[in-house]
Amino acid sequence: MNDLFERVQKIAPEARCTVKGNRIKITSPLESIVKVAEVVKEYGFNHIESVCGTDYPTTNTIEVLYIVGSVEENLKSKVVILGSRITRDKPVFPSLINIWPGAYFHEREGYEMLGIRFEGHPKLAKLLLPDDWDDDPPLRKDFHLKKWGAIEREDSGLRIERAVLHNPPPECIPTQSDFMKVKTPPFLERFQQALDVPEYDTLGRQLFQWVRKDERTIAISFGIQHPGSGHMRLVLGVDGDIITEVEPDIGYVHRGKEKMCEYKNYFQNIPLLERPTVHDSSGMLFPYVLAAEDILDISDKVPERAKYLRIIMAEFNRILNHTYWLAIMGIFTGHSTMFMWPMGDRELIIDAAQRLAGARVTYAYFVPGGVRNDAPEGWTDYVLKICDKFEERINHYREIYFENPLFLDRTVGVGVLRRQDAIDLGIVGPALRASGVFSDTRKDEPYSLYDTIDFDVPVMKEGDSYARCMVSYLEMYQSLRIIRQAVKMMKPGPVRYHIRGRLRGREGEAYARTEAARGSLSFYIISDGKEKPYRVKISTPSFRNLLAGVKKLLPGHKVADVPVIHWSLNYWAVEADR
Amino acid sequence: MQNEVDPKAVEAIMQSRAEGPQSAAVLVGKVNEVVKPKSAIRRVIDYLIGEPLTYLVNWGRLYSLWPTHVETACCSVEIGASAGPRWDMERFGVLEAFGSLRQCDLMIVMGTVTRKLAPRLKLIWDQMPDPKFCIAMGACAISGGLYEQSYNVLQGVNKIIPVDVYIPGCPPPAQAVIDGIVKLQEKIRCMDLKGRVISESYLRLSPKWRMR
Amino acid sequence: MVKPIAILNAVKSGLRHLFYSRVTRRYPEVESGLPETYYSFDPKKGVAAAGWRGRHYLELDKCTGCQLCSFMCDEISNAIVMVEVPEVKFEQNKKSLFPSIDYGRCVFCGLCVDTCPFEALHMTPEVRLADYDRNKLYYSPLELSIPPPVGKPSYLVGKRKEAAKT
Repeated sequence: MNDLFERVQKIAPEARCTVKGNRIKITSPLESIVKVAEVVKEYGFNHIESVCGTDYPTTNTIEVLYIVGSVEENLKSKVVILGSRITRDKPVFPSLINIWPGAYFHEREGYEMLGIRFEGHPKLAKLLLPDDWDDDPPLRKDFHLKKWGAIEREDSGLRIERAVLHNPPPECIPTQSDFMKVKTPPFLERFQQALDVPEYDTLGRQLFQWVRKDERTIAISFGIQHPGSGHMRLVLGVDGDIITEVEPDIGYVHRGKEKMCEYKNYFQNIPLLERPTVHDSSGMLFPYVLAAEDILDISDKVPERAKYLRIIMAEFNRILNHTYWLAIMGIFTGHSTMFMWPMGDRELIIDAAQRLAGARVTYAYFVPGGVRNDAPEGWTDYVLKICDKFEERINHYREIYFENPLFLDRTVGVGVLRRQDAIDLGIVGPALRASGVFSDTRKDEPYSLYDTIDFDVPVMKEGDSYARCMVSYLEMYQSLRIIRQAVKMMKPGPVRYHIRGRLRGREGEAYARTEAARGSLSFYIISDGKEKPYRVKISTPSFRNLLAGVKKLLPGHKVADVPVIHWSLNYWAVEADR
Repeated sequence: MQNEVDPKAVEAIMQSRAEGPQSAAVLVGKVNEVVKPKSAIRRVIDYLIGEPLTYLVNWGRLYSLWPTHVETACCSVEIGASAGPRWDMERFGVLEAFGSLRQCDLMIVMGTVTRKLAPRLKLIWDQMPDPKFCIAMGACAISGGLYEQSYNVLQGVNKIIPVDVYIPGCPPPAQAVIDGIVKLQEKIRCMDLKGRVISESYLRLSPKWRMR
Repeated sequence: MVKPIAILNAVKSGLRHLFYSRVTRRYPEVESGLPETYYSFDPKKGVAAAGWRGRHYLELDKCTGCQLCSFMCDEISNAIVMVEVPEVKFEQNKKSLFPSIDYGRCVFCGLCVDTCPFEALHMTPEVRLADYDRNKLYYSPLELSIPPPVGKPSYLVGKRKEAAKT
């Protein structure tokens, strides 16, 4: 690392570099940020993760941080956090798209959430917020969350103050007829007007203009109410049957998690933060729990049995995610048997997981300090039996799907993602491994006792949709291998380090990264010594894969290939929108 | 004679209102039934043709509720599981037919409705033909749930769409979804040809009935 | 020719499933298959007992009205409201304050059960809570103290008050 620091100091003498474990933080003044970024990229950090902006009203600055990883052999486990401060009154930052092309959509999100203008970005517009948003940028500290909730609740009046026994007097409670009086809120009326009046030009309409390059192209909305699209809209520019340009329109499930995390303490955040990736909810909580333990200073007090139980739960969730993904892939290619079989087989795994954790999908099982409860009696034998039954079932998928010429015709050679493009755009997960890059966080920087377990990681070279499906299918076998070993290596013991007394985090930052089912997921928490975090930045694999992948891969293909390509990137729009 | 209001009917309605909150549709049905006295021929025709016809039409509507394909948020995982082989929704006639939304009569609002999605949801609801039913599934669709204080979330879908059945849970397990569909079917059995509720026997299925 | 043989393989694999046993559980007539124990938390050991998280079960003779469950849920989803129940008098709860839960907002996370220091709140395997009326989803404390028709109580339910003193 020292020669990296020397090179940075040569160019920008006022820059400061600190190292903590695998994290390298470089802060530089605003004038030399572009040159420092070039030096960092030349050194080997070429895989961008996210762009995080934080508002500090006390010093009247906004701090903009670029979090960058790497796929080179000797730098895989390290992460560079590069940043600089700008003033709140005039927030202008030079865009680093020419250095890391994958930052295109991250900078758009920074623009709408904090109001930062990135100079040099070709199309700076809204991404996640609704079209007619005319209030402050949400992540600034002047924007108070409770103000919105209070206004709506006056309108609805749903709280019963004194619920006394079975027959409450009618005046206390709003009747069902009050609910059935359907109202039209003002934003709905504005939308209805926009449909009739062409001069009222919302962002959704502008996308149609951006996509039409010349008079021959037509703009099609591959939209929300479509059996092949999921919770987002793609506006396609089509010339005949061939797609020439794509604009994704996401934000239909944007619920504002990063803002809401700042109002809850580290335990109350758990049900909130497991809901984005709902199939893989334990995989979503894993990096949050590791980062929160770092801030609360209890990382070394987590018992060993808890670490093995976490591994087992994370691998169950990986299998559940991949079976759901294969099932929907079956529907999109018109193969309804491939919908039914994985949906039925995943119920076997759900049976094993619900006996341990108490719910079918959203477990809320991990807490800072361990896991919430121990396994009931006879659970370990049950898990070993279920693993054998499940493996027998997924052996059948090969004949019916992966060697079926109908499926092969639709996916081989379709949506080829080359190796260098995948690294430049910041793609992660099975899509990256199918393009020939060996990158898996469980092997690069092992967390929570993964280094005591023996398993392989499948990697393929072709990079088309078939390779992406095949990589996920092979990963399921490896997950079963991990579960069997972990179950045998578990020894009886305590399961939780119960924090008693006040919850107080240390001042500083924490960063944690794990391999969720869809790719590598990371949490970056900034805390100022209180029981609630100051800023939580979530960098999800779907956000990185979907937008860049769709914009790069779709042009040149026909309209019938659209569902196959965008679903093979394994995205889930709820996770991308947070 | 026909426009006069029966004082006994008014008293019955005030008494039933004192018993507890009622749906407006129930009260409308009751008033219509009681205020207009029917002639004998009309009653015979209703008995011979009207009631069996209503029963047959409701039977047809109950057992072929086709939902629109609008997946709103996380609860769509449990709808996928309910449509899978173990908890089979298709036994009850709920089939995900990939036709256009002009052919569907059920809208299951699964999960959070954001401000960006809400106007589009209302457009879809307006395009569905009558009679149509709505199920609010999950805590987010009933009242905003976890995200009640967020800046981009609508606090409950009953602000823009009239809801028939509420299923609590986050997400409700597949067993609860099937239970909710069965309850909606019982409610449809108590409707008349135009889709108004005329009888109250479906209320015995509510879980608070055994706690009276 | 590769094509017809590969498609025939797929059809053959599908036809073999005609002779396997059926996977469907005809749910309302047949048992649901949920684990049957209650979810409870032992504050002395700091660890919970495995169980299913459905509708709550409140033990009126252990609850002291300390409002810790309400404080925890205030920032999660605001589903617990403390109400006065003047008809019921217990010596450990002088103000007669008990929690009432709104299932239109409850997320079934179980963190309220984890914070109760007196083992008064548990969660049962009852999930059939669907209703026609939004108001019927507010459950008062006396309604929560009626045990549901499904589920086996854990070892913490029904212990005398000495066990509640930590």
